[in-house]
Amino acid sequence: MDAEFADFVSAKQNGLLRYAMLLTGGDTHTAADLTQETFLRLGRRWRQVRDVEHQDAYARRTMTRLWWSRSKRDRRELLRSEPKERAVEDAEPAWTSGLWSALQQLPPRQRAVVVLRYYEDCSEREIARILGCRPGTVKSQASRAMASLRRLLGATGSAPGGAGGSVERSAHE
Amino acid sequence: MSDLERQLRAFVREGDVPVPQVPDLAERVVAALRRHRRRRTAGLAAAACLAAGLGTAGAVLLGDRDATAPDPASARGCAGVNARAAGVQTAASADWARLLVVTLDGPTEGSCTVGPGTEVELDAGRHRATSTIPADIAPVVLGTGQRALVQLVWGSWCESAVPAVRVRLPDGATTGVDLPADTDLPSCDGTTRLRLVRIDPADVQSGR
Repeated sequence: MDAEFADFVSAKQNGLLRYAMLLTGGDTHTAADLTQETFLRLGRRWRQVRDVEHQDAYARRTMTRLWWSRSKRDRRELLRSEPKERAVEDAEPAWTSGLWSALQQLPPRQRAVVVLRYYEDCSEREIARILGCRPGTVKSQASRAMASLRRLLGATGSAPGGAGGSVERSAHE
Repeated sequence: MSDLERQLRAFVREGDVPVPQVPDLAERVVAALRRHRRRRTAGLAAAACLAAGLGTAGAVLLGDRDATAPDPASARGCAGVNARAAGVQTAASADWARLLVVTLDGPTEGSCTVGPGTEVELDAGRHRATSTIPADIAPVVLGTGQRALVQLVWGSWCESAVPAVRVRLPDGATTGVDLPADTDLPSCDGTTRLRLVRIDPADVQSGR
């Protein structure tokens, strides 16, 4: 079982690490931790997981749920302890590609909605189930995310190129 | 779908997102998974021991106290009782108590009652610890070809040497066996603690 699972991890790790980078907005340490935790969850249920038809999608859903739980927990801890540190960290994205930079500056839930919607083609109802909120909230978060991205990219409908700017954090995030 | 949405879709699926290099991820995950399985197995074993202990305690509390007194007549063959093996089962955490199990083989002739009054002693030369089977533990009669498992909770051991196990039976007969040299000894928390929890009725005739 270990050898088979190790092969699975080796084969899927790059894809999941990339997906984790999208979810975390480029936080390499969190992305690596999240990927490891996701594989651990899958490993504990390996007998079921190895028979799943769409393993990639299953793994990404698992990761998204884990990340969202972690994100809510971390946010509570940050709000209690050191809110300024987060603001500084978020103001300086590590990469400067226009769209990537803009995505990094979205609040976690808006970024999750964007990733689930455009990567996974999830419906609002599916996203709501994964994130544990109402479909109406997903709709409003998606709308805010798109507005923020347009503002950050400096144009409405033009090709993304410029980076920079900042986003006001939603009180709901 | 707007241009921005198309660009977003293309980017999240195939865009140039930097991926961190984690070369030993597979090894780390597999190792963590093994640790998880070991912890789960140890936890289940500890839970099973606890359940067995509670079950025995319940049976003893609900049982007939008068029936627990040993029958002196049945203790004639105790000189032939042999402590064949002793082992220690490690619990989930290094700090937890160990379960010490001593296997007693029945005598070649007659029978021997193993019950209240029987002493189990850990002997490491300078350092000793003794537990006497209390009156509320039901005795078992050990006949030829039968065996009993005596189980004790070993809570603390304040000595580095691996001890031998000595069993003094009610009629004064003694038997003993060495614990294996690689026995996982419990850590010391001040005082050596040893407490008998049960005599396994498996393979033996009940003394009641």
